[in-house]
Amino acid sequence: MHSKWLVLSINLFLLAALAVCVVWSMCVGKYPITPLESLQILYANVFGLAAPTDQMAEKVVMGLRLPRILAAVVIGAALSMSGATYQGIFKNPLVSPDFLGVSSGACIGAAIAILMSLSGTGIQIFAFCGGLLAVTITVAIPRLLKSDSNIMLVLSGIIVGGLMGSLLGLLKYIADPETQLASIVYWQMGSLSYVNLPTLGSVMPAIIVSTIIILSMSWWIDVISLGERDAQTLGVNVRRTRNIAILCSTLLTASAVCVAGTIGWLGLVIPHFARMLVGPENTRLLPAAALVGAIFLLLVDTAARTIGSSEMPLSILTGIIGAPFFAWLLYRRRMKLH
Amino acid sequence: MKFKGMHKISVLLIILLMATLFTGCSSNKAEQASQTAPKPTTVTVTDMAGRDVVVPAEVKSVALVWGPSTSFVLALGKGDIITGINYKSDFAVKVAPNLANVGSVGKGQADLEALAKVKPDVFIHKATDTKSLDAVQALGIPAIGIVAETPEDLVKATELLGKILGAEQKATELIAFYNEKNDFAKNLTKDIPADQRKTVIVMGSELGKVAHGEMLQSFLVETAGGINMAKDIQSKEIWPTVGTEQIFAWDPDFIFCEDYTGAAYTIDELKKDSSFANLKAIKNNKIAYIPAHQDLWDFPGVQSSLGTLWMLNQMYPEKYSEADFIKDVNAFYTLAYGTTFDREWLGY
Repeated sequence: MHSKWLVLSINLFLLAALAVCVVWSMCVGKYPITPLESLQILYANVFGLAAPTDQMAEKVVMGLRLPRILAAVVIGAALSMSGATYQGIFKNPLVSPDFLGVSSGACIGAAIAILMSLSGTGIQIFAFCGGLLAVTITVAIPRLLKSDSNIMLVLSGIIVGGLMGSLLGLLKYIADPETQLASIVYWQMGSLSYVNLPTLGSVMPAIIVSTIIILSMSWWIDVISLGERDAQTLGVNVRRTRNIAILCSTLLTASAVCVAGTIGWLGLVIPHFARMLVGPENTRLLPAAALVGAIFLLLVDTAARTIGSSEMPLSILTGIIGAPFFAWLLYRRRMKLH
Repeated sequence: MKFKGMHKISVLLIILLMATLFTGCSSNKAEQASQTAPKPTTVTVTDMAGRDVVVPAEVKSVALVWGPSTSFVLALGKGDIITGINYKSDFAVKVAPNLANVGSVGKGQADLEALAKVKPDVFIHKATDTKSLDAVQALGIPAIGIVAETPEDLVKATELLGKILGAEQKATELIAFYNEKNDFAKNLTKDIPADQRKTVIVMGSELGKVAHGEMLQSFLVETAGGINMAKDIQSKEIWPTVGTEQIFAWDPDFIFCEDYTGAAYTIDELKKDSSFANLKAIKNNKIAYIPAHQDLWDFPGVQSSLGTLWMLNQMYPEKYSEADFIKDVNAFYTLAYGTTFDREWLGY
C-alpha cells in the first residue's frame, strides 16, 4: 500500500519530469537552433514580444516543434488513460485499446471516411463509431459464449483485431493508390509529423470532457474492479458506470487515432508501469498513467523526429520498446507470485 | 440512493460527448495566400494541384522527396540547384555531381525540420500529397505539386517546372523531342493491321503482376505499335496481380520486365524454368528488361520517350533499326545533358 504522500510526491515528480522533457524536446531537432534561442522564441511568442532570431527558426519552434510536443503529451496521456480504464473496467490486465480492437476499429472508421472523401469532422465521427463498434463486438463475444474469463476477452480481442486487419486490407485494396491509400497507411502507421494546432485543438474538447468524466468516475471504477456484487451492494450501477467508462475511453482512443493514427503498445504497457509506481487503485493510477504516457510518447516522438535521415513511424518505436518491456513486466509479476 | 441521478447525468454526458465530436478534427488548409504580397522579385504560378503559389522569379535552390520529380528537374538541366533530395541514384550524381554532397530531406514525405534547415527556394512534390504540400508551404517554403501519371500531365509538368526553374527554353525543346518521337513511333506503326501487331505484357516486380491500360507502361507499348494484353484489366491498383495462369492464356509475343532491384524473379530464372519453356516470348527469346539501370525509361518524365523507342526497336526492328535507336538515344542525352552515355552503362 502506497501512502497518500508518496503517491502525491510521485505525481509531482512525474509532472516535473514531463516539464523537463517538454523543454528538452523543444530544444532538439534537425533544424539548428540553440536551446537558448528556442526558449527565447517560445518566451517571445508567449508574451507577444518580437522574436530575436530568424523567421524560419520561429516557424520551426512554434509551427513544428510546439504542436508536435503538445500532441505527443495529449495523445500519450489519452491512450494511457484509456488503457488503464479498460483494464480497470474489464478487471483484466491484458486489455488495451489495441488489444480490444478499438484502435483498428477506429482506423477502419477513418479509412471508410477517407474512401468516402469526408473531411476532418467526418473522419473523427467515423473513427469513434468504428472504435465503439469494435469494442462492442469484442465484449459481446464472451457474453454470447457465456464466459467471463480473462482469456476469453483476450481471444475475442484477437478475433476482432484479426477481422479488422482484414477489413483494413480490403479497404486498402479498393482505395485509390495515388490519393487515398497514402492517407490510410498514414493512419495505420501512426505519426505526428504533420500535426498542427487546429487539428489538435479540434479533438481537445472531446479529450478534455472524457478525461474529466473518467477521472471523476475513477472511484466507481475501483469499486467495480472489486467485483460486481460488491459494487452493487455499495450502490454502484455497474452497467451504466461501465458503459460510460467504455464510451469515454473509446472516445479518447478515437481522438488519438484522429490526430496521430494508431500507436501500438502504449495503452497496454504504460498503465502497468504506472501501477508499479502508485499501486492499482484507479483514483491514483489514472493521473500517474496519464503523466507517464505523456512522457513516454513525447520521448518516443522526439526520437522519431531526430534519429535517422527521415522520420520513423511511431508504432515501430513503441513496439520495439513496449513489447520487451511488457515481457519484463510479466516476468516480474510471475516472480512476485512465486 | 446516491447514484439514482446517474441516469440523467449519463444521458447529458453522452450528448455532451457527441457534441464535442461535431466540432471535428478539421484539417488545416495552410494559408498559402499569406504570402501573396506582390514583390517584383516573385511570380505567382498555379501548380497541378490547383494551388496558387508565389515563387521567387529566380529560383536558386530546389528540394524534393519524390522520385519522379527528380527526373524532371534533372532533365531540365537543373540538377545543380538541388539542395535536398530523397534518393540519389548513380545517374543523378553523374549528371549533377553536386548531388554527392546533398543530404536527405525525407523519404516520400517531407521531413519538415530537415527541409527548414535546407530552406530551398521551392519544394517540388506530387500533387496528390496535399498534406506535405500544405505543411511545407506553412513553413514559408513555396511548395509546387505536380502530376505525372499520363503523357499529357507529364508534358504539363515539364512546362510548369521549366517556367518555375527558369528553363523554359529547355522545357520546350524536351517536350518537342518527346512529342516528335511519340508521333514518329505512332506513324511508323500505324499501318500495321491489328492481327499482325505484336502482343505484349509488361511485368512488375513479381510474376503475374502486370501493367494495366491506365499505366504509363501501357502507353509506351501502345505508342510503339504493340498491343498491351493486360490493357482491359480493371484495377485501381498499380501492378495488379493477374497470376501466371493468365499470362499462359495470353501467351504474348513479348514480355517486357521492370528492372527492379529486389524483384521476386529474374529473366534468367524464367528462361531456365521448364514450366515457362512453352511461352512464345521465352521460346523466341523475346523477354527483356526495360532499360532502367540508370535513367528510368519507363518512369514519368520526358525520358520515357526512350522507353517507347526501345520497345519499337524490340518489336519492329525491320522498321526501326538498332542504329536508328542508338542515334535517338544519343540525341536525347545530348539535348538534355549536353553529352552522351555509354550504352552498357545505361543498360540497353
